[in-house]
Amino acid sequence: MALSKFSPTLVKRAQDGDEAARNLLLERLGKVFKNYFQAKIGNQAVADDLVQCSLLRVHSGLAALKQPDKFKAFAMKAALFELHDYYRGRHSSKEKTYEPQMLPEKQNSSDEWSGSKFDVERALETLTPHARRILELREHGYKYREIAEILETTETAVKMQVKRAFEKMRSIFAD
Amino acid sequence: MDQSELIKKVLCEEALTAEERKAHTGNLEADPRLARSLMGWHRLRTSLRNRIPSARDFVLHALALGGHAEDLSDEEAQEVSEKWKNLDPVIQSHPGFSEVCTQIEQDREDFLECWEAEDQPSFSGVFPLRMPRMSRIAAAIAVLVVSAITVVFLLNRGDTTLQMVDADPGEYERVLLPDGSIAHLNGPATLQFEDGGSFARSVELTGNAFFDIMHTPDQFSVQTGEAVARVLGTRFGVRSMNGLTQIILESGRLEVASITKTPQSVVLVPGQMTSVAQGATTPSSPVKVSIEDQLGWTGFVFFRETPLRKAAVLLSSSRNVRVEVDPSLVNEMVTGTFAPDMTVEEILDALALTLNARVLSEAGTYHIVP
Repeated sequence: MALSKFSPTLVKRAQDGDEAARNLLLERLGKVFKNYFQAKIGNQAVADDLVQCSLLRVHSGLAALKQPDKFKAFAMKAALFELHDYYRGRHSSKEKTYEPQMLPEKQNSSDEWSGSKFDVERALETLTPHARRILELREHGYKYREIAEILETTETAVKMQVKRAFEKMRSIFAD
Repeated sequence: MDQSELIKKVLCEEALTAEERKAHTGNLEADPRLARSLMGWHRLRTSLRNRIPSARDFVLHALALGGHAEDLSDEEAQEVSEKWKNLDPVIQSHPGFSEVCTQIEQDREDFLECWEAEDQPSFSGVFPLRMPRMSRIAAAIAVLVVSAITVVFLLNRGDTTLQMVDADPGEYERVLLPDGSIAHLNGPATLQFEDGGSFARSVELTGNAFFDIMHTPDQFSVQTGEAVARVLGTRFGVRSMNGLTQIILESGRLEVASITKTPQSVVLVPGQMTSVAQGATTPSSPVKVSIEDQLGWTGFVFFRETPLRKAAVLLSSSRNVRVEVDPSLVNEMVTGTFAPDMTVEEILDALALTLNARVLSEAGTYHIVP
Protein backbone atom coordinates (compact mmCIF):
# COMPACT_ATOMS: atom_id res chain seq x y z
CA MET A 1 0.00 0.00 0.00
CA ALA A 2 1.40 3.38 -1.00
CA LEU A 3 2.16 5.85 1.74
CA SER A 4 -0.36 8.66 1.95
CA LYS A 5 0.50 12.30 1.38
CA PHE A 6 -1.73 12.85 4.36
CA SER A 7 0.02 10.38 6.63
CA PRO A 8 -0.99 10.34 10.30
CA THR A 9 2.56 11.39 11.09
CA LEU A 10 2.23 14.54 9.03
CA VAL A 11 -1.16 15.25 10.54
CA LYS A 12 0.24 14.74 14.03
CA ARG A 13 3.10 17.10 13.30
CA ALA A 14 0.64 19.71 12.13
CA GLN A 15 -1.45 19.21 15.24
CA ASP A 16 1.63 19.57 17.42
CA GLY A 17 2.34 23.03 16.06
CA ASP A 18 4.81 22.29 13.28
CA GLU A 19 3.88 25.17 11.03
CA ALA A 20 5.69 23.77 8.00
CA ALA A 21 3.81 20.49 8.35
CA ARG A 22 0.52 22.31 8.75
CA ASN A 23 1.18 24.43 5.68
CA LEU A 24 2.12 21.37 3.66
CA LEU A 25 -0.96 19.51 4.83
CA LEU A 26 -3.29 22.37 3.97
CA GLU A 27 -1.58 22.96 0.65
CA ARG A 28 -2.14 19.36 -0.35
CA LEU A 29 -5.67 19.36 0.97
CA GLY A 30 -6.37 22.59 -0.90
CA LYS A 31 -5.75 20.77 -4.17
CA VAL A 32 -8.26 18.07 -3.24
CA PHE A 33 -10.84 20.67 -2.24
CA LYS A 34 -10.24 22.69 -5.39
CA ASN A 35 -10.77 19.73 -7.70
CA TYR A 36 -13.77 18.63 -5.71
CA PHE A 37 -15.62 21.95 -5.62
CA GLN A 38 -14.83 22.79 -9.21
CA ALA A 39 -16.36 19.50 -10.25
CA LYS A 40 -19.37 20.00 -7.99
CA ILE A 41 -20.13 23.67 -8.52
CA GLY A 42 -18.42 24.68 -11.75
CA ASN A 43 -18.35 28.37 -10.86
CA GLN A 44 -14.72 29.22 -10.20
CA ALA A 45 -15.32 32.05 -7.73
CA VAL A 46 -17.80 30.05 -5.68
CA ALA A 47 -15.53 27.00 -5.74
CA ASP A 48 -12.63 29.14 -4.49
CA ASP A 49 -14.78 30.45 -1.65
CA LEU A 50 -15.78 26.93 -0.67
CA VAL A 51 -12.14 25.81 -0.77
CA GLN A 52 -11.17 28.61 1.61
CA CYS A 53 -14.10 27.98 3.95
CA SER A 54 -13.34 24.25 4.04
CA LEU A 55 -9.65 24.85 4.70
CA LEU A 56 -10.56 27.25 7.47
CA ARG A 57 -12.86 24.64 8.96
CA VAL A 58 -10.07 22.05 8.86
CA HIS A 59 -7.55 24.54 10.24
CA SER A 60 -9.86 25.41 13.12
CA GLY A 61 -10.80 21.86 13.97
CA LEU A 62 -7.47 20.13 13.44
CA ALA A 63 -6.35 20.36 17.05
CA ALA A 64 -9.51 18.60 18.19
CA LEU A 65 -9.07 15.67 15.79
CA LYS A 66 -8.34 12.79 18.13
CA GLN A 67 -7.34 10.22 15.54
CA PRO A 68 -4.88 11.55 12.92
CA ASP A 69 -5.50 8.44 10.84
CA LYS A 70 -9.06 9.67 10.31
CA PHE A 71 -7.96 12.86 8.63
CA LYS A 72 -9.50 11.84 5.31
CA ALA A 73 -12.95 11.47 6.84
CA PHE A 74 -12.41 14.67 8.80
CA ALA A 75 -11.57 16.59 5.62
CA MET A 76 -14.40 14.96 3.70
CA LYS A 77 -16.95 16.06 6.30
CA ALA A 78 -15.56 19.61 6.26
CA ALA A 79 -16.11 19.74 2.49
CA LEU A 80 -19.61 18.27 2.72
CA PHE A 81 -20.65 20.64 5.50
CA GLU A 82 -19.53 23.61 3.42
CA LEU A 83 -21.10 22.26 0.24
CA HIS A 84 -24.51 21.77 1.82
CA ASP A 85 -24.31 25.04 3.73
CA TYR A 86 -23.74 26.65 0.38
CA TYR A 87 -26.69 24.85 -1.21
CA ARG A 88 -28.97 25.96 1.58
CA GLY A 89 -27.88 29.56 1.40
CA ARG A 90 -27.83 30.21 -2.29
CA HIS A 91 -31.58 30.68 -2.82
CA SER A 92 -32.82 31.88 0.52
CA SER A 93 -30.99 35.20 0.60
CA LYS A 94 -32.51 36.26 -2.73
CA GLU A 95 -36.07 35.03 -2.50
CA LYS A 96 -37.70 37.64 -0.34
CA THR A 97 -40.14 38.95 -2.91
CA TYR A 98 -43.35 37.74 -1.39
CA GLU A 99 -42.64 37.78 2.31
CA PRO A 100 -45.86 38.63 4.14
CA GLN A 101 -44.50 41.90 5.47
CA MET A 102 -43.94 43.05 1.89
CA LEU A 103 -47.53 42.49 0.88
CA PRO A 104 -50.18 45.21 1.07
CA GLU A 105 -51.34 45.69 4.65
CA LYS A 106 -55.01 45.48 3.72
CA GLN A 107 -54.41 41.89 2.71
CA ASN A 108 -52.51 40.95 5.81
CA SER A 109 -55.08 42.26 8.24
CA SER A 110 -57.79 39.81 7.28
CA ASP A 111 -55.92 37.13 5.47
CA GLU A 112 -56.39 33.69 6.85
CA TRP A 113 -52.95 32.74 5.56
CA SER A 114 -51.28 35.18 7.88
CA GLY A 115 -52.77 33.37 10.87
CA SER A 116 -52.66 29.80 12.09
CA LYS A 117 -55.40 28.61 9.77
CA PHE A 118 -52.95 27.88 7.01
CA ASP A 119 -52.64 24.10 6.84
CA VAL A 120 -49.34 23.26 5.22
CA GLU A 121 -49.84 19.55 5.61
CA ARG A 122 -53.14 19.70 3.78
CA ALA A 123 -51.56 21.69 1.01
CA LEU A 124 -48.65 19.29 0.70
CA GLU A 125 -50.94 16.32 0.51
CA THR A 126 -52.42 17.66 -2.67
CA LEU A 127 -49.05 17.37 -4.40
CA THR A 128 -47.84 14.27 -6.19
CA PRO A 129 -44.85 12.54 -4.54
CA HIS A 130 -42.76 13.50 -7.54
CA ALA A 131 -43.68 17.20 -7.30
CA ARG A 132 -43.12 17.15 -3.58
CA ARG A 133 -39.69 15.59 -4.01
CA ILE A 134 -38.80 18.35 -6.44
CA LEU A 135 -40.01 21.12 -4.14
CA GLU A 136 -38.11 19.66 -1.21
CA LEU A 137 -34.92 19.36 -3.21
CA ARG A 138 -35.43 22.91 -4.42
CA GLU A 139 -35.81 24.18 -0.87
CA HIS A 140 -32.61 22.39 0.12
CA GLY A 141 -30.93 24.63 -2.43
CA TYR A 142 -30.49 22.61 -5.58
CA LYS A 143 -30.98 24.31 -8.93
CA TYR A 144 -33.48 22.96 -11.43
CA ARG A 145 -30.65 21.66 -13.56
CA GLU A 146 -29.19 19.80 -10.60
CA ILE A 147 -32.57 18.41 -9.61
CA ALA A 148 -33.02 17.17 -13.16
CA GLU A 149 -29.67 15.37 -12.93
CA ILE A 150 -30.54 13.88 -9.56
CA LEU A 151 -33.91 12.61 -10.79
CA GLU A 152 -32.52 11.68 -14.19
CA THR A 153 -34.93 13.82 -16.12
CA THR A 154 -34.82 17.15 -17.97
CA GLU A 155 -34.77 20.64 -16.55
CA THR A 156 -37.91 21.44 -18.54
CA ALA A 157 -39.74 18.49 -17.02
CA VAL A 158 -38.73 19.61 -13.53
CA LYS A 159 -39.94 23.16 -14.15
CA MET A 160 -43.17 21.81 -15.53
CA GLN A 161 -43.76 19.91 -12.31
CA VAL A 162 -43.18 23.06 -10.25
CA LYS A 163 -45.51 25.02 -12.49
CA ARG A 164 -48.26 22.45 -12.04
CA ALA A 165 -47.69 22.38 -8.31
CA PHE A 166 -47.98 26.15 -8.14
CA GLU A 167 -51.18 26.17 -10.18
CA LYS A 168 -52.67 23.50 -7.93
CA MET A 169 -51.67 25.47 -4.85
CA ARG A 170 -52.98 28.66 -6.42
CA SER A 171 -56.46 27.28 -6.70
CA ILE A 172 -56.35 26.39 -3.00
CA PHE A 173 -54.73 29.56 -1.73
CA ALA A 174 -56.77 32.01 -3.76
CA ASP A 175 -60.12 30.67 -2.63
CA MET B 1 -50.45 39.95 -14.88
CA ASP B 2 -49.51 37.80 -17.84
CA GLN B 3 -49.70 34.15 -16.76
CA SER B 4 -46.49 33.05 -18.44
CA GLU B 5 -44.67 35.97 -16.84
CA LEU B 6 -46.06 35.03 -13.47
CA ILE B 7 -44.97 31.42 -13.80
CA LYS B 8 -41.55 32.55 -14.94
CA LYS B 9 -41.20 34.69 -11.84
CA VAL B 10 -42.38 31.90 -9.59
CA LEU B 11 -39.93 29.45 -11.11
CA CYS B 12 -36.91 31.69 -11.21
CA GLU B 13 -37.29 34.16 -8.39
CA GLU B 14 -33.61 34.10 -7.56
CA ALA B 15 -32.88 35.44 -11.05
CA LEU B 16 -35.00 38.59 -10.64
CA THR B 17 -33.23 41.89 -10.41
CA ALA B 18 -34.03 44.27 -7.58
CA GLU B 19 -36.12 46.40 -9.95
CA GLU B 20 -38.06 43.41 -11.26
CA ARG B 21 -38.73 42.29 -7.71
CA LYS B 22 -39.97 45.73 -6.73
CA ALA B 23 -42.21 45.99 -9.78
CA HIS B 24 -43.58 42.53 -9.16
CA THR B 25 -44.41 43.32 -5.55
CA GLY B 26 -46.16 46.46 -6.74
CA ASN B 27 -48.35 44.37 -9.06
CA LEU B 28 -49.68 42.47 -6.08
CA GLU B 29 -51.52 45.50 -4.78
CA ALA B 30 -53.67 45.45 -7.91
CA ASP B 31 -54.44 41.76 -7.65
CA PRO B 32 -55.42 40.58 -4.12
CA ARG B 33 -56.10 37.00 -5.25
CA LEU B 34 -52.64 36.76 -6.76
CA ALA B 35 -51.16 38.21 -3.59
CA ARG B 36 -52.94 35.57 -1.51
CA SER B 37 -51.75 32.81 -3.84
CA LEU B 38 -48.15 33.90 -3.76
CA MET B 39 -48.16 34.39 -0.04
CA GLY B 40 -49.59 30.91 0.46
CA TRP B 41 -47.05 29.49 -1.94
CA HIS B 42 -44.26 31.10 0.02
CA ARG B 43 -45.68 29.98 3.33
CA LEU B 44 -45.56 26.46 1.96
CA ARG B 45 -41.97 26.84 0.83
CA THR B 46 -40.91 28.46 4.08
CA SER B 47 -42.56 25.67 6.00
CA LEU B 48 -40.62 23.09 3.99
CA ARG B 49 -37.42 25.01 4.38
CA ASN B 50 -37.84 25.19 8.13
CA ARG B 51 -38.03 21.42 8.32
CA ILE B 52 -34.71 20.88 6.59
CA PRO B 53 -32.02 19.75 9.04
CA SER B 54 -28.87 21.82 9.31
CA ALA B 55 -26.15 20.94 6.83
CA ARG B 56 -24.12 19.37 9.61
CA ASP B 57 -27.02 17.23 10.89
CA PHE B 58 -27.93 16.25 7.36
CA VAL B 59 -24.40 15.15 6.45
CA LEU B 60 -23.77 13.23 9.65
CA HIS B 61 -27.15 11.55 9.50
CA ALA B 62 -26.71 10.62 5.85
CA LEU B 63 -23.28 9.12 6.54
CA ALA B 64 -24.64 7.02 9.37
CA LEU B 65 -27.69 6.05 7.34
CA GLY B 66 -25.51 5.07 4.41
CA GLY B 67 -23.41 2.69 6.50
CA HIS B 68 -20.41 4.98 6.86
CA ALA B 69 -20.37 5.23 10.63
CA GLU B 70 -16.59 4.76 10.48
CA ASP B 71 -16.39 8.28 9.08
CA LEU B 72 -17.82 9.71 12.28
CA SER B 73 -15.86 10.60 15.38
CA ASP B 74 -17.09 9.23 18.69
CA GLU B 75 -18.65 12.59 19.51
CA GLU B 76 -20.39 12.78 16.15
CA ALA B 77 -21.70 9.23 16.47
CA GLN B 78 -23.10 10.15 19.86
CA GLU B 79 -24.64 13.29 18.40
CA VAL B 80 -26.29 11.34 15.60
CA SER B 81 -27.58 8.78 18.04
CA GLU B 82 -29.16 11.45 20.23
CA LYS B 83 -30.84 13.21 17.31
CA TRP B 84 -31.88 10.11 15.42
CA LYS B 85 -35.27 9.79 17.07
CA ASN B 86 -36.31 13.27 15.96
CA LEU B 87 -34.43 13.60 12.72
CA ASP B 88 -35.00 10.27 11.03
CA PRO B 89 -38.82 10.51 10.88
CA VAL B 90 -38.52 13.99 9.34
CA ILE B 91 -36.15 12.73 6.65
CA GLN B 92 -38.10 9.58 5.96
CA SER B 93 -41.40 11.44 5.63
CA HIS B 94 -40.00 13.86 3.04
CA PRO B 95 -39.01 12.14 -0.21
CA GLY B 96 -36.85 15.08 -1.21
CA PHE B 97 -34.89 14.94 2.03
CA SER B 98 -34.30 11.23 1.57
CA GLU B 99 -33.00 12.05 -1.88
CA VAL B 100 -30.60 14.58 -0.32
CA CYS B 101 -29.23 11.78 1.88
CA THR B 102 -28.55 9.76 -1.24
CA GLN B 103 -26.86 12.77 -2.79
CA ILE B 104 -24.67 13.24 0.28
CA GLU B 105 -23.49 9.67 -0.16
CA GLN B 106 -22.67 10.50 -3.75
CA ASP B 107 -20.90 13.67 -2.60
CA ARG B 108 -18.81 11.51 -0.28
CA GLU B 109 -17.87 9.16 -3.11
CA ASP B 110 -16.94 12.09 -5.34
CA PHE B 111 -14.76 13.55 -2.61
CA LEU B 112 -12.95 10.27 -2.03
CA GLU B 113 -12.33 10.04 -5.77
CA CYS B 114 -10.72 13.50 -5.74
CA TRP B 115 -8.73 12.49 -2.69
CA GLU B 116 -7.36 9.35 -4.29
CA ALA B 117 -6.44 11.28 -7.43
CA GLU B 118 -4.37 13.71 -5.37
CA ASP B 119 -2.99 11.26 -2.85
CA GLN B 120 -0.42 9.69 -5.12
CA PRO B 121 2.92 8.75 -3.60
CA SER B 122 5.11 11.69 -4.50
CA PHE B 123 6.83 14.25 -2.32
CA SER B 124 7.10 17.98 -2.19
CA GLY B 125 10.21 19.14 -3.93
CA VAL B 126 11.19 15.60 -4.85
CA PHE B 127 11.01 14.27 -8.36
CA PRO B 128 10.88 10.61 -9.20
CA LEU B 129 14.24 9.36 -10.33
CA ARG B 130 15.70 12.85 -10.41
CA MET B 131 19.25 12.24 -11.45
CA PRO B 132 22.43 14.01 -10.50
CA ARG B 133 23.41 16.94 -12.68
CA MET B 134 25.89 15.13 -14.94
CA SER B 135 23.44 12.32 -15.47
CA ARG B 136 20.84 14.83 -16.55
CA ILE B 137 23.17 16.18 -19.20
CA ALA B 138 23.64 12.66 -20.45
CA ALA B 139 19.92 12.19 -20.33
CA ALA B 140 19.41 15.20 -22.56
CA ILE B 141 21.61 13.55 -25.14
CA ALA B 142 20.04 10.13 -24.96
CA VAL B 143 16.52 10.51 -23.65
CA LEU B 144 15.22 7.32 -25.20
CA VAL B 145 18.00 5.19 -23.81
CA VAL B 146 17.58 6.58 -20.32
CA SER B 147 13.81 6.13 -20.50
CA ALA B 148 14.26 2.50 -21.39
CA ILE B 149 16.69 2.01 -18.53
CA THR B 150 14.29 3.74 -16.17
CA VAL B 151 11.45 1.47 -17.11
CA VAL B 152 13.57 -1.62 -16.63
CA PHE B 153 14.91 -0.20 -13.40
CA LEU B 154 11.44 0.45 -12.03
CA LEU B 155 10.11 -2.88 -13.14
CA ASN B 156 12.93 -4.71 -11.48
CA ARG B 157 12.20 -2.99 -8.23
CA GLY B 158 8.60 -4.09 -8.09
CA ASP B 159 6.45 -1.50 -6.31
CA THR B 160 9.30 0.70 -5.11
CA THR B 161 10.51 3.86 -6.80
CA LEU B 162 13.86 5.48 -6.38
CA GLN B 163 13.50 9.09 -5.30
CA MET B 164 16.40 11.51 -5.63
CA VAL B 165 16.60 15.16 -4.78
CA ASP B 166 19.62 17.36 -5.04
CA ALA B 167 20.51 20.86 -3.98
CA ASP B 168 23.04 23.00 -5.81
CA PRO B 169 25.87 24.63 -3.89
CA GLY B 170 24.41 27.32 -1.67
CA GLU B 171 20.85 26.08 -2.20
CA TYR B 172 18.53 24.93 0.55
CA GLU B 173 15.98 22.17 -0.04
CA ARG B 174 13.52 20.90 2.52
CA VAL B 175 12.50 17.29 1.89
CA LEU B 176 9.58 15.73 3.68
CA LEU B 177 10.20 12.00 3.85
CA PRO B 178 7.38 9.47 3.67
CA ASP B 179 7.43 8.82 7.43
CA GLY B 180 7.17 12.51 8.30
CA SER B 181 10.88 12.96 8.98
CA ILE B 182 12.48 15.98 7.38
CA ALA B 183 15.82 16.32 5.61
CA HIS B 184 17.14 19.86 5.22
CA LEU B 185 19.62 19.75 2.36
CA ASN B 186 22.31 22.41 2.18
CA GLY B 187 23.82 22.21 -1.24
CA PRO B 188 25.80 20.65 -2.56
CA ALA B 189 23.79 17.63 -1.49
CA THR B 190 21.97 14.67 -2.96
CA LEU B 191 19.49 12.59 -1.04
CA GLN B 192 18.25 9.26 -2.30
CA PHE B 193 15.65 6.88 -0.93
CA GLU B 194 13.15 4.31 -2.04
CA ASP B 195 9.46 4.63 -1.52
CA GLY B 196 6.33 2.94 -2.68
CA GLY B 197 5.18 0.10 -0.54
CA SER B 198 6.39 0.75 2.97
CA PHE B 199 9.17 3.27 3.43
CA ALA B 200 12.13 1.44 4.97
CA ARG B 201 13.27 4.54 6.91
CA SER B 202 16.59 4.42 5.11
CA VAL B 203 18.20 7.17 3.02
CA GLU B 204 21.52 7.72 1.30
CA LEU B 205 23.26 11.07 1.38
CA THR B 206 26.08 12.75 -0.45
CA GLY B 207 26.86 16.26 0.76
CA ASN B 208 25.38 18.24 3.62
CA ALA B 209 22.07 17.75 5.38
CA PHE B 210 20.44 18.23 8.71
CA PHE B 211 17.91 15.58 9.71
CA ASP B 212 14.87 15.91 11.90
CA ILE B 213 13.78 12.32 12.40
CA MET B 214 10.27 11.40 13.45
CA HIS B 215 10.41 9.08 16.43
CA THR B 216 8.89 5.66 15.75
CA PRO B 217 9.69 2.15 17.01
CA ASP B 218 11.55 1.50 13.74
CA GLN B 219 15.12 2.53 13.27
CA PHE B 220 15.97 5.26 10.76
CA SER B 221 19.30 5.13 8.96
CA VAL B 222 21.32 7.64 6.97
CA GLN B 223 24.11 6.14 4.90
CA THR B 224 26.97 8.03 3.31
CA GLY B 225 29.99 6.73 1.40
CA GLU B 226 31.78 6.08 4.66
CA ALA B 227 29.31 5.75 7.51
CA VAL B 228 25.84 4.86 8.59
CA ALA B 229 23.94 6.66 11.34
CA ARG B 230 21.10 4.82 13.02
CA VAL B 231 18.47 6.45 15.18
CA LEU B 232 14.93 6.13 16.43
CA GLY B 233 14.10 9.83 16.55
CA THR B 234 16.49 12.74 16.78
CA ARG B 235 18.04 15.76 15.09
CA PHE B 236 21.51 15.69 13.66
CA GLY B 237 23.68 17.08 10.90
CA VAL B 238 25.66 15.07 8.35
CA ARG B 239 28.44 16.34 6.09
CA SER B 240 29.68 13.86 3.56
CA MET B 241 32.33 15.10 1.16
CA ASN B 242 35.63 13.98 -0.30
CA GLY B 243 35.80 10.65 1.49
CA LEU B 244 34.99 11.98 4.95
CA THR B 245 31.70 11.95 6.82
CA GLN B 246 31.19 14.18 9.83
CA ILE B 247 28.14 13.75 12.06
CA ILE B 248 27.00 16.12 14.82
CA LEU B 249 24.11 15.33 17.13
CA GLU B 250 21.83 18.12 18.27
CA SER B 251 19.30 16.12 20.28
CA GLY B 252 18.39 12.51 21.08
CA ARG B 253 20.76 9.57 20.79
CA LEU B 254 22.62 8.42 17.71
CA GLU B 255 24.63 5.36 16.76
CA VAL B 256 27.27 5.85 14.06
CA ALA B 257 29.09 2.99 12.36
CA SER B 258 31.52 2.63 9.50
CA ILE B 259 30.36 0.70 6.45
CA THR B 260 33.37 -1.58 6.17
CA LYS B 261 33.10 -5.35 6.39
CA THR B 262 33.92 -5.24 10.08
CA PRO B 263 32.13 -2.08 11.19
CA GLN B 264 32.64 -0.57 14.59
CA SER B 265 30.24 1.94 16.06
CA VAL B 266 30.13 4.79 18.53
CA VAL B 267 27.18 6.40 20.26
CA LEU B 268 26.73 10.14 20.29
CA VAL B 269 24.94 12.22 22.89
CA PRO B 270 23.71 15.75 22.18
CA GLY B 271 26.47 18.20 21.38
CA GLN B 272 28.95 15.51 20.29
CA MET B 273 30.59 15.00 16.91
CA THR B 274 32.28 12.03 15.26
CA SER B 275 33.76 11.49 11.82
CA VAL B 276 34.43 8.50 9.60
CA ALA B 277 37.11 8.47 6.92
CA GLN B 278 36.84 6.33 3.80
CA GLY B 279 37.97 2.77 4.59
CA ALA B 280 38.15 3.35 8.33
CA THR B 281 36.63 0.61 10.44
CA THR B 282 35.95 2.79 13.46
CA PRO B 283 34.43 6.23 13.74
CA SER B 284 36.50 8.76 15.60
CA SER B 285 35.91 9.06 19.33
CA PRO B 286 33.01 11.43 19.98
CA VAL B 287 34.09 14.90 21.00
CA LYS B 288 32.02 17.69 22.45
CA VAL B 289 31.55 20.61 20.08
CA SER B 290 29.63 23.85 19.98
CA ILE B 291 26.35 23.18 18.25
CA GLU B 292 26.00 26.86 17.43
CA ASP B 293 29.31 26.90 15.56
CA GLN B 294 29.51 23.40 14.14
CA LEU B 295 25.98 23.23 12.73
CA GLY B 296 25.92 26.74 11.32
CA TRP B 297 26.33 25.33 7.81
CA THR B 298 22.86 23.73 8.05
CA GLY B 299 21.18 27.10 7.69
CA PHE B 300 19.57 26.52 11.08
CA VAL B 301 20.41 28.94 13.83
CA PHE B 302 21.10 27.18 17.13
CA PHE B 303 21.31 28.91 20.47
CA ARG B 304 22.14 26.77 23.50
CA GLU B 305 22.45 28.89 26.61
CA THR B 306 24.15 31.29 24.25
CA PRO B 307 25.00 34.82 25.43
CA LEU B 308 22.97 37.31 23.43
CA ARG B 309 26.19 38.96 22.30
CA LYS B 310 27.25 35.72 20.56
CA ALA B 311 23.70 35.04 19.35
CA ALA B 312 23.76 38.38 17.54
CA VAL B 313 27.04 37.48 15.86
CA LEU B 314 25.76 34.05 14.79
CA LEU B 315 22.54 35.54 13.49
CA SER B 316 24.36 38.31 11.64
CA SER B 317 26.55 35.71 9.97
CA SER B 318 23.72 33.29 9.19
CA ARG B 319 21.31 35.82 7.72
CA ASN B 320 23.83 38.31 6.36
CA VAL B 321 22.45 41.22 8.36
CA ARG B 322 23.78 43.46 11.12
CA VAL B 323 22.40 42.85 14.61
CA GLU B 324 23.46 44.95 17.61
CA VAL B 325 22.62 44.38 21.25
CA ASP B 326 22.13 46.95 23.98
CA PRO B 327 25.00 46.65 26.52
CA SER B 328 22.53 45.83 29.29
CA LEU B 329 21.46 42.68 27.43
CA VAL B 330 24.71 41.25 26.07
CA ASN B 331 25.11 38.61 28.78
CA GLU B 332 21.50 37.41 28.70
CA MET B 333 21.37 33.69 27.80
CA VAL B 334 19.12 32.47 25.01
CA THR B 335 18.19 28.98 23.80
CA GLY B 336 16.34 28.07 20.64
CA THR B 337 16.47 26.44 17.22
CA PHE B 338 15.38 28.38 14.15
CA ALA B 339 14.79 26.77 10.78
CA PRO B 340 16.40 28.08 7.58
CA ASP B 341 13.09 29.39 6.28
CA MET B 342 12.55 31.67 9.30
CA THR B 343 13.26 35.31 8.58
CA VAL B 344 15.62 37.35 10.70
CA GLU B 345 12.65 39.41 11.88
CA GLU B 346 10.87 36.29 13.11
CA ILE B 347 13.95 35.12 14.98
CA LEU B 348 14.57 38.52 16.54
CA ASP B 349 10.95 38.83 17.57
CA ALA B 350 11.17 35.44 19.27
CA LEU B 351 14.32 36.44 21.12
CA ALA B 352 12.85 39.78 22.13
CA LEU B 353 9.75 38.08 23.45
CA THR B 354 11.86 35.76 25.59
CA LEU B 355 13.90 38.65 27.00
CA ASN B 356 11.02 41.07 27.31
CA ALA B 357 12.98 43.32 24.99
CA ARG B 358 12.24 45.21 21.77
CA VAL B 359 13.69 45.11 18.27
CA LEU B 360 14.32 48.35 16.43
CA SER B 361 15.35 48.55 12.81
CA GLU B 362 17.35 51.49 11.58
CA ALA B 363 19.27 51.91 8.35
CA GLY B 364 19.56 48.17 7.76
CA THR B 365 20.69 47.41 11.29
CA TYR B 366 18.60 45.63 13.91
CA HIS B 367 18.95 46.75 17.53
CA ILE B 368 17.82 44.63 20.47
CA VAL B 369 17.03 47.04 23.28
CA PRO B 370 15.32 46.75 26.70
